[in-house]
Amino acid sequence: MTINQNLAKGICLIAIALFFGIQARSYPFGSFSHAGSGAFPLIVCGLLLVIGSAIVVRTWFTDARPFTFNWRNIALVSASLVAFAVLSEYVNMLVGLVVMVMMASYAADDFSFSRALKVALFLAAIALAMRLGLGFQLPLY
Amino acid sequence: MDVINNLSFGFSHALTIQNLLFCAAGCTIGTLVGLLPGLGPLATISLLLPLTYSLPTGGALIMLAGIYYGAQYGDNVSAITMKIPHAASIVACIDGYAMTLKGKTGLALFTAGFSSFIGGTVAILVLAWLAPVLSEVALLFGPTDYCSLVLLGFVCVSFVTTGSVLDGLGMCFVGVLLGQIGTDVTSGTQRFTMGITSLFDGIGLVSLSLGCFGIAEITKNLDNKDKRTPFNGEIKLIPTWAEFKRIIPSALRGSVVGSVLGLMPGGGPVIAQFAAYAVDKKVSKYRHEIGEGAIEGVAGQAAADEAAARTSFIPLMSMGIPENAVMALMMAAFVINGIQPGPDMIKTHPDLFWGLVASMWIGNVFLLVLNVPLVRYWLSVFKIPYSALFPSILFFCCIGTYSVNNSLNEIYVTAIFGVLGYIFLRLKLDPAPLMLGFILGPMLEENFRRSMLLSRGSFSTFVVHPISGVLIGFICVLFLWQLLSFVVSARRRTMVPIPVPESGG
Repeated sequence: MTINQNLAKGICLIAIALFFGIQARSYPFGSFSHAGSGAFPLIVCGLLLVIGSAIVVRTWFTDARPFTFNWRNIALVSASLVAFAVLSEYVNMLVGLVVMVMMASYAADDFSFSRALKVALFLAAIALAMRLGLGFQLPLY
Repeated sequence: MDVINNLSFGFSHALTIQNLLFCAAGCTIGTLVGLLPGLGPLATISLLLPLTYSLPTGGALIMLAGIYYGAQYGDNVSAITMKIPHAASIVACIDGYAMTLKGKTGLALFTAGFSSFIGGTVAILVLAWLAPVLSEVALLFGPTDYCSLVLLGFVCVSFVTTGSVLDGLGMCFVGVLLGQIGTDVTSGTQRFTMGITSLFDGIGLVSLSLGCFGIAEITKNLDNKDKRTPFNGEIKLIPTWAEFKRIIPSALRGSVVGSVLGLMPGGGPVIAQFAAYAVDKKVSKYRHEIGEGAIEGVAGQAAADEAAARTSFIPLMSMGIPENAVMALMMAAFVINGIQPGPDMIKTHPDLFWGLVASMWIGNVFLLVLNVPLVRYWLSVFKIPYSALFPSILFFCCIGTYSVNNSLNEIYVTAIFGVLGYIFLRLKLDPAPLMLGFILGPMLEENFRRSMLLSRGSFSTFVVHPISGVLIGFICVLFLWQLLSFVVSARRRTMVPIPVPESGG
């Protein structure tokens, strides 16, 4: 099934507007002359909702374009970042660094284990140099 | 004579050994990082922003400005030699790359560098003369006018970057909402934090921009299975006198176009390049050659690019309103370094302001004498395969976001915005307006609340105030124009349902 890119665009903006708008309703609105912390976000959400709806309406007048999405690469890249943060927190940053490079490299279509390992070791050396030589505060080990 | 006095005052600040070093370092690192695929000026600046935290304020600003135009030149180089477009160098891909195909890479690179120098010089004169004047004008602006100005900026940026006001404006508002996350300054309420402590201070700027511009772009390149052949041709830099003579008029035209367009809300290097290219195509003596690798096709756009990059500092430094996403990032960098750009900046920090202006010109000289000759060595970056390069970029993204305030939480935020930025990219939603909205959002809210307080809750204040009324008028005109062109194109589509067969010949 192909999804229309324009339609998805509008729906995405509407979803963001609702996500923020529902939360904003719980903040004090005040009055326009003494706006509370909820007034401005609600107005912006309202405008965003209008824009999102307008984009949805616009899809009736324009040609559909397929929405393509490649989950694999973005998932690998962002997961490698998360792994880096988690490992740095519970083990140390050098381990996190090596795991991140290995995971992210897997996203490349010409992945080679030995090369990824070389890159990881090279970057680990740079990180060590940054800490020892330049005095960066990195919790490497 | 004020201009000359001020500039010489600025040079006395910029010409210290320390500041010269910062300027040279900024230009060089900026060019090198800007060359890398997937890292345009926005990502480059946010990646290198943490480097400047430990520097003295003046040096930090000088280095950041250097990084900015260094990155722009780097973009130009990768566009000319390998046809890798960044957001800021689409035009350079046309004639610049065509010149490379003809074996005139060196000439193209020299033309780009030398035209940038001319463009920068013209723009700095404009900057030195206009910024103080404009900061006087800015004092006439009340909160209502600032509100309308920010809105006009949103509409213009949307119009320019995405071509569709609706898409761009939507992204601006998403940015504004993201900027609301954290503690409300006026009332102390926690907004949209979902109870996460690290969000009480708001989303980190570096995390947001590296996610949206760095991670998302890198992933896009991975999806495209980037296979590029590194540039291996010969580079002969010094042009003949006949070639040199062709650069000048075109570069001067570009400088004027760029200086003017850099001042407009929503303006900046991108639109200036296109405009300068179009002008050259109309009036140049060699217009029939443009598009097939003419010197003019490179010179005009490079000069306009540089000039617009400089003059777009004027609204930022004299009114405190950044007009495009890069300037919004610059503004955030100024604030981090303890300087609030705005009408008072020239008066309260004349040494910083004029020092920065002077250092821009020095940066131009550095670009010309340092970067242009050295460029052949830097191109060797591309001999590294992408699958080894991008994990390194990721690593520096991580170190960059971590070192903002030595916190790993920032990396989670970067990852989340990487995913979001990628989704936006696939939806053809440009993240640049989002950046502008994110940084201007708090200012918009504050001025909105203030003007509503002054008008006792009446929205008519935005139309009644003369300056604000004119700005709102502009917004309406832009909207009407967009609506009209949409209706016309939709009509045409329904009226002619059968595509006209292409006639041969």
